[in-house]
Amino acid sequence: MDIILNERNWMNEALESLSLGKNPYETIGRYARVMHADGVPKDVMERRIEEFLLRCDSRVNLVMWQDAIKRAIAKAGKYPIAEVDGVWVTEGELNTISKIESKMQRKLLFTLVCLAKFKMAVNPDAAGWVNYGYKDICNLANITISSKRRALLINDLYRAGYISLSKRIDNTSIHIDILDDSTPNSLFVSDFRNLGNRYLMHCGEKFFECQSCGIVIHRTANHQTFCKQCAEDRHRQLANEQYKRSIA
Amino acid sequence: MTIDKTKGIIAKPMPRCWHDRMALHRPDSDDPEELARWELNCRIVADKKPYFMRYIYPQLMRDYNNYINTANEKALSEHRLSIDEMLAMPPEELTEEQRTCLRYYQAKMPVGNHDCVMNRICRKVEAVFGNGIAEPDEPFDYTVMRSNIGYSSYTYYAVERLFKQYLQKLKRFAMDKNNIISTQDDPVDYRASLLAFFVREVALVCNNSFQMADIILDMVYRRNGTKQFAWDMVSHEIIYNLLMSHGGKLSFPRADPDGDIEFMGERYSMTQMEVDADGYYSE
Repeated sequence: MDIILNERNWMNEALESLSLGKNPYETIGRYARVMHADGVPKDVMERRIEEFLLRCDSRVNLVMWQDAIKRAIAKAGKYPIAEVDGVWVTEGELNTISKIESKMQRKLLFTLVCLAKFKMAVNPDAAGWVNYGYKDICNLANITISSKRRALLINDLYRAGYISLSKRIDNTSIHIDILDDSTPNSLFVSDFRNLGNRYLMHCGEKFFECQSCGIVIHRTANHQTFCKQCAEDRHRQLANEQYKRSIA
Repeated sequence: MTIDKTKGIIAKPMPRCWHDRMALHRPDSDDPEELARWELNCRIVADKKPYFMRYIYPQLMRDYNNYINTANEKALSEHRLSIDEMLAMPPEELTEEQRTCLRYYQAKMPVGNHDCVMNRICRKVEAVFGNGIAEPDEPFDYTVMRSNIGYSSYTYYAVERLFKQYLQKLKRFAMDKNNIISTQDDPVDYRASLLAFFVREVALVCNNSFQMADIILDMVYRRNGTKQFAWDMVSHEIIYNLLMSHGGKLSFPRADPDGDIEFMGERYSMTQMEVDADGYYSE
C-alpha cells in the first residue's frame, strides 16, 4: 500500500505521463475526487475520465468500464482529497514512543502516529483513528512478522495504553491515544515509505535517505548515497555518458 | 425469487420482515401476544444464508473468510486469544469482555452456522476433505508416463528456460487481464497461440518428441503447479508410453446386452485390444 500525500500532484503527473498506476480503479477514483474538489460537473467528469482511459490505452473497451466510472463519480464527494506536504510529529509524541523498550513496538507506534496525523490532516473528523489493515501498517513500519504476531504486537501497544481499539468485532481500526499537539514540533515526515526505517534513522541508527528517490534504507557501506535501484540507474547513465564521450 | 423473475414468472414478493431484521419493529403496545410474536419473528428471521451455501456463492465465501480473518485479528489484538481458543475455553473461565466478544462474533457472522442437517453434512465433508481436495496417501508416480529415453542436461535446461518464459508470459497475461484496461485478447486464443509458439521454439532445441516428453514430465511433475502444460504439449507421447508399458493392451467397456457391468441402465463388458508400436490394433 502506498500513501499518497498530495493526490492532486500525483494525479497531474499521471495525466502528463498517461499512467494508470498500479491500480487503474483507484486512479480513476482519485481523478474523479480531484475533479469533484475543483467543482467539475458529473457529465464532464465522465467524459474526461473516458478520454484519459483512451489516451492511456487506445484499445480500451469503454463499455466494460462504464460501471467503474459511474461508481467512481458517485463516490467522488464522499471523502476529501489528500493535499498535504507532510506531517509533524511532536516532541511529546516522540518522547512517549522512545520510552518503549521494544524496537518493533516503537517502529509500529511511530507509524501509527504518522498515519493518524495524516488522516487528520486530510479529514479532521478522523480524530486520531487509523483504519488501514494490520498487514499494511506493518509493511509501512518495515515489520515483517506472521499475522498472529502482528495482532499480538498491536495487543502489546493496546495493553500499554498507547492505543485503543474499535468495539466492533469485524473492525480493526485503531485509535492513537498518545497524540499530543501541545508540545513543539520535532520531526517532519514528508515521505510515508519505510516509516519504520525513517524512525530508526531519526534515532541515529545506520539508515540513510537515497539522494535520488528519497527512500530510507539500511546503510550497508560507509559512503552510500543511493538506494540499489537508483545506484543501478546512475551507473547505467554514467556508463552511457562515458561511452558517448569516448566515441565523440 | 430472482430466478423466477428472470424466467418471467410473476411471483409474489416475500414480505421484507421474513429476510430483513431491520424491518422487524418492536410493537408499540405492551400486549404480551404481540411481543411474543415479535420475539418469535426476531428468532426465525432468515437474514443469513446457511453455512453450507458458501460453497455455492463465491461472494459469500469471500465475506465469510474475510469476517473470520478480521474477527481473529481483532480477538488476538484485544484479548490475546483467537476466536477458536476462546470457543474452546470453558464458559466460566471467560472474562465478561471475552463473552461479549464471542456473542457479537456469533451475531455478526455473515452465515447461519446452526446445526441444521445440511450444515452438519457440510462439516462432516469438511472434516474429511479439509478446505480443499484431500492429498493422496501416496505421491503419484509420474515415471509410468515416461519413455526413459534419456537426455542431456543441456537440452533439459534449454527447454526449462523456454518453459519459464512461457509461464512468465501466462502470468503477465493474467495480471494484465485483471489490472490493465484492455480486454480484447481472448484468454483461450492467447493461450493457444502461446502454446503454438512454444512448440515451435522447443522443436528447435529438441527434435525427438519422446525425449521432449520425458523432459517436460520431469520439469512439470517435480514442481508444485499445474500439470496441464504436459498434457497440452505431449499428450500423445504420454498415452503411447502408458500403452507400451501395459504391453500394448487397451481395456475399455463396450456396450453388451449380456455384459457383467451395469451403468446407468445399460450393460457393458470389458473388451481388450492390442495396439502395436505402429498404432495398428487387433482385438
